[in-house]
Amino acid sequence: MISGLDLEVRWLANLGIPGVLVPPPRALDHTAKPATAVAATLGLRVPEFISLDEEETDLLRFCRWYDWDLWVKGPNYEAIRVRRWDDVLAARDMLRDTWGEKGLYLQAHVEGQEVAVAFAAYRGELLDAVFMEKRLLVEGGKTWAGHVRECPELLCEKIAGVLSNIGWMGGGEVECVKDCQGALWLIDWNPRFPAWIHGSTLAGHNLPAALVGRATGLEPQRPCQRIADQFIRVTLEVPVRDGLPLPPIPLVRHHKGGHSKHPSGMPLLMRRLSGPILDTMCPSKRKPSGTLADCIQEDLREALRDSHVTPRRAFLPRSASAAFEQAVCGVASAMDELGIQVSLCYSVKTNPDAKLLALARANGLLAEVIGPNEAEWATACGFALRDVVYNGPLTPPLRRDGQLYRAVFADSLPSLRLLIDRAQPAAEVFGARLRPPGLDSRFGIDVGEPRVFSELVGVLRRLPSDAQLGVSFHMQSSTWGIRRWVAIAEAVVAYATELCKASRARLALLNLGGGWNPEDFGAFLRDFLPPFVRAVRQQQPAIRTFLLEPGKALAQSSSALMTTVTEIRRGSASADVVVDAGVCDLPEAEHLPHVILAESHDSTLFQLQGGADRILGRLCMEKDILARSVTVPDFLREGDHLVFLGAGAYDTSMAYRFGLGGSGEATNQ
Amino acid sequence: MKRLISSCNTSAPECPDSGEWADVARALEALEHQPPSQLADHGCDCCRGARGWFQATARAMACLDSATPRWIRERWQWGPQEWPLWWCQAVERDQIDCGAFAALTREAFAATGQRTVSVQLIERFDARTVDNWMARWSGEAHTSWLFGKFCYHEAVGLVTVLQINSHRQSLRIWDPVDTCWVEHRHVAGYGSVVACRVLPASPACRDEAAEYDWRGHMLQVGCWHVLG
Repeated sequence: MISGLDLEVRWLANLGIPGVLVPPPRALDHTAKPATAVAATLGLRVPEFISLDEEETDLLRFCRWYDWDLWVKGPNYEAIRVRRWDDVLAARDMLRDTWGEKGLYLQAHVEGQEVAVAFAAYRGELLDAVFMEKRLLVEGGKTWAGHVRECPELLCEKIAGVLSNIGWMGGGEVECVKDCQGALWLIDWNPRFPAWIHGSTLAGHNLPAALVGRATGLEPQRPCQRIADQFIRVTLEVPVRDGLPLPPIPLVRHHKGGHSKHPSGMPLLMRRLSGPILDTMCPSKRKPSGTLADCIQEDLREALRDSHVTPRRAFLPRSASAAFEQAVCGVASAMDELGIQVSLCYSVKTNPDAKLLALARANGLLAEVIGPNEAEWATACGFALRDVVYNGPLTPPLRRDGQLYRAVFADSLPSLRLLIDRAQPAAEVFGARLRPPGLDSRFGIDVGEPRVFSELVGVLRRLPSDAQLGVSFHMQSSTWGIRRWVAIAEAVVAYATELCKASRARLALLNLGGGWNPEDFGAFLRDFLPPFVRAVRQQQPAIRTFLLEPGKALAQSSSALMTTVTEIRRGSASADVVVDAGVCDLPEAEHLPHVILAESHDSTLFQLQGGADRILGRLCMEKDILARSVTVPDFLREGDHLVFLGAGAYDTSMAYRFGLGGSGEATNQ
Repeated sequence: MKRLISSCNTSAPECPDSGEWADVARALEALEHQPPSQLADHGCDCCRGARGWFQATARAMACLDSATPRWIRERWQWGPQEWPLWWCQAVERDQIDCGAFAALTREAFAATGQRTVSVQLIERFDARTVDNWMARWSGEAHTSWLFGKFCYHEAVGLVTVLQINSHRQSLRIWDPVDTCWVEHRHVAGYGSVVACRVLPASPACRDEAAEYDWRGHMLQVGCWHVLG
């Protein structure tokens, strides 16, 4: 008996029935996904991965680090490509609903060509193997056409060694991606013949026949003839005899979990098998939980001691100061190395709290604003207008006092024309916000269109000869990933360089911004900014100044949301905790996980770990869920406090008053 | 036909039969003096701006997308056009032919600091395919690139390895319309390359090697090489 289904193979392996040509359980354990041990033996790389059991903040960090191009994978079946946090959660939930909780993981995508080795082995002896380049893939990654070749000798030898060591029995497939440098990355080791195995037979390698022949001692009646090295799959509708039962009529209903994609009953088998058989699969790459910085602990102790009124947004002064100081130090180190001026800007919209603007000013930052009201607020908080950077989308109104902004960037061609045509300049540096091609953004001038590029050149030619040109680029690094963000910034510089060439304008300033996670900003300053600046200066030697607007990296850790548990609903498998705050107090909770602390009865703070419990808000709204995947500690009781960290950026500035009646106090302090 | 080199045997040659051979010979003769396609430049702001935009986009897309300029094929459709094609027209068009694709692709590789040569190909298809192209092209542009079952095609050679102290340089051939490396394609049957010729990227280029190593064959610059 030969099985063509991963789970069935595992089931049969554990039954130990003689004559069944499946690998022994220890061989399956050794090659279980993501198969790091076997990859090392084969000399293949494995894309980085993290168990989906990890805390969501760790998963989010992993996603950012791998530029939001990842796969959510199950231990046996299915891989879903994900590019946003919502996709990650949806894919995880779908795989959990279908395959159960165990063994799900998130893996970085590797760009390249998909290839595979199919093989047959008997009691550890490799009988035959072929190498196949995938030429056509359909949705779900299924091979629809391929080119079969001889397996490279070295790879074949290594596979033979692995099979021998683990006593492999049966068919198998090693699926890889060949990257643009030619390196092979192991994606999956499948414990059965692949679905395209007949393509191998067409190429003269009948692997199932070789396996059966070796197991039975029978010679095939006809030797396998090579017909073609290439194959393509076709599907056929065949007649069904009257009287044979077709499946029942499917009901059309809203899809929620479950799967009609697996008529083989594999999801059901998965549930039957869950337990000891599957416990060894997919080793987790568990990282130790981060410990809270001393300054945060001190701030929180103070906040909890001062008042127990909740929900309440607590400003964390030490944490806020530390964020600014670290950023300033990081920039200073980069400047030492680069010998140029890099100025930090504080994005007023991220959190306009006067305390944060005061910190920004005290640390020598500029203020970056998106409109005249913010500009007025920045000056009211003590910034001189020459220390304010104005970055649309609104065109700044004409100032009657004649003062100049440090820089003004137009978000559109009409806005730029207006600024240039005014008799009175608005800023020391004029410029435009650019949008390179392929970005789904409403902001910036679309220089990916030649007609727009040409119009922009025409407008820039009208700049006075002594004018200093600036170019601005703002994208959220936390939603694109650091490397991707840098690549987009490089693309903007490529356009800026050609714009300057064509318009004979001089690029004096580059304004880069957008939404760094606090954890990433230090790494960006240290590892990515210096090579980027060097590359820019090669193209634009005249450039003197870089303005860097880190967005939420400066503000996020400046406050926490303190809540009180109003109810705990413990179920058989998971628990729901209801608190006295809602998504109106923590609007980013809908899309991003927060670090959550529970205060025990001796006032010790514990960080909630990943799990299946939820924290629900106080609002009568379906979306009012503040956390979806946590473990509620046993000690937690009604009346205890839960603290949501990292609430100092848009969780503060975009919080709204809701569900409080006419006389309630807003939590936004 | 004296410059024809027919000794470049591939691992799986499929020699044209005598009828087909006449078509290949006709193609080679007709293409003997065919230069690689070049975009024309008005020498003023219209073309300077268009070319500047293209170079910026080529560099930007190399950062954003891929080392190979697939974006060109995603931006433009393949189809008939008139020659000469000016830079300022090219960037505004929706549809260009393989010569324009090759010219733009050479420019894109050059914008990212890579050395290229022009590559001319004769490819085998079948009568129905060629009839279809003949019908599609005949109303709008010339059909002198079609020869029975065979057609003229332009690709781009990317110079990959410079062997120090030698004139030998390696070549990879990029098909800008099919967006694939030609060496990955099959060597016989529909869509296979029957003959190829390497020429300098532009008439102004003087420093190219005399021959290039492609798939183990030495391709002499300026000579047609029949592969099957």
